[in-house]
Amino acid sequence: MVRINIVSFYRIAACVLFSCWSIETLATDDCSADALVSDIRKNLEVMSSYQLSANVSLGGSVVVSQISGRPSERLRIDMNIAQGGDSIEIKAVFDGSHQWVETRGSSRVEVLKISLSELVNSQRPFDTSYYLMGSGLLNGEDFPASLFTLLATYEFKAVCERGIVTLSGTLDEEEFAKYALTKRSQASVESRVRQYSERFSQLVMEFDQLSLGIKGYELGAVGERAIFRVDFKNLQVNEKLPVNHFFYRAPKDVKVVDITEELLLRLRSAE
Amino acid sequence: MPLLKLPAKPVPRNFAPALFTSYKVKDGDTLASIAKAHGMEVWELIYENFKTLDPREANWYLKNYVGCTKETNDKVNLAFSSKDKPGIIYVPVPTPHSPILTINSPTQSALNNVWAGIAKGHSADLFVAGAFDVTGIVYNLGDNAPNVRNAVLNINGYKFGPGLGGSIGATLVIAYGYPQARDMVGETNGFDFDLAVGVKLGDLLKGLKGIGTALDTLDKFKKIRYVAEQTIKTTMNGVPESKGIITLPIPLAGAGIHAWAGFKTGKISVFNTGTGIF
Repeated sequence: MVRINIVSFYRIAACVLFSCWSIETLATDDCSADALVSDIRKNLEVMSSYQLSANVSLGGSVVVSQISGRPSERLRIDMNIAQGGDSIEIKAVFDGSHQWVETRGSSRVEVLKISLSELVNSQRPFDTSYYLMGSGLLNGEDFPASLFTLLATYEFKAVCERGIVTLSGTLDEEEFAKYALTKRSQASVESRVRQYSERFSQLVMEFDQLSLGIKGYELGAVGERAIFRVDFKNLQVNEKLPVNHFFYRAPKDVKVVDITEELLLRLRSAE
Repeated sequence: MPLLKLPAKPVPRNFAPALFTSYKVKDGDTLASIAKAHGMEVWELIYENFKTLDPREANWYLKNYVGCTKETNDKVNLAFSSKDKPGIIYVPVPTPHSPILTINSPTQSALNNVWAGIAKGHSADLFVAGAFDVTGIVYNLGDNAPNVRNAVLNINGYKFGPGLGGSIGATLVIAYGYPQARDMVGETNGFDFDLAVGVKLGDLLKGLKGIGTALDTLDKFKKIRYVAEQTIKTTMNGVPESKGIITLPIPLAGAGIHAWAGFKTGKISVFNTGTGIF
């Protein structure tokens, strides 16, 4: 009985020591930036749907957006921009064939319609170039694609503390130039990279250490306070969204303006 | 046969623009020839007389107020004749030193607190946001020429909402609610606007030299004032009691994209305040 207990004791002690070593080792591995980025990418790749809210602060103003979508298929952004006692509400719905942008100001409502067929491709399913600036998403990209881009265009160091993974990144201008090339613009890639780099050469992303769900990110220049901060809240993934969630119908009394041709004209002149 | 349209709210039959005088039309006169003879553009002459830019409404006024009966050769519009009764069109009062004055006195003008000008705008697509920088000279629209107060204005900030990202070009700047130019300093304002509000902004650039520089003729000042008035009228139903600054990128190629800017926030600097147009 005593011998068995001694054996058990040694076995337990060995297990405890091994476990401690393993946990320490795993913790170190878990906090390697490359491993974390790889795991975050894997999570994003298997995401079938998402819903979250984004609070964006820029230049002293705050914009709140509700974002939801199915990667590369559907996207909906409901943005609220408060100014004094007034606010502007913008709803952008990508229903698979059209992008609808409804802007509701204090005195009127405007609805724009863009046919997606001539503007998107498999790499950039929402790239209409007519995007919602300040939603927390990158130009013409949905939520997972925006995170993929950020993860691909910065070089990171990781810190894991108190359940939060912090990735601190420095802009990889070469990678960012490749990304910028995929975006149509009247400005040269060089000037766009330079302008972006001047303001946003530093990126800090925060993730929940357990789920690796993003909590927020901020962009700024070296040695300066970040000027663009996004806080993501209420992130829910892989949940079924209502059937009509990505369906849009313009209000009855509002004239819908189709800007597809104008947009194509502008974009072609930029190429 | 010329198309006529009864305006929704016709100007009174005895309406005469301030500081304008009557001109009796004669055979061979056209709106274009009368306008040219008085240093105006046709659209300006029509608007000053009838407060419309709709050709059908202009024809209605020509028939019912001017008494035109003849048609132009292309049968599209009404033509002037010496037999027209009363046959009166209003033209600016000529002045020896200062050209046409059509501005109400500052004490009566609703435009006292409104400033406008053409600035050079530069907006950048920062991939997650838009940044913009606008610099130009704005003029007080309620002042009497040539003593029009002006100021160099710079707005530097960010924009939210739908948009195309970066561009460089002429920008119409309208600031409202500011009795003095220096009142704009340090403001951060949000504003929304819509290019498709019926104002042909592209026309504004014709004859203007040097985007973001001073206007050099009274005529250009008047164009700015006209477009600013129209913009305020169509976007805000008149000069609001609040204050704010609107910036409208002007389509250089004639047809501009339908661009709602959503919201802008930025730091405003004002320097080199002065007086005069020329």
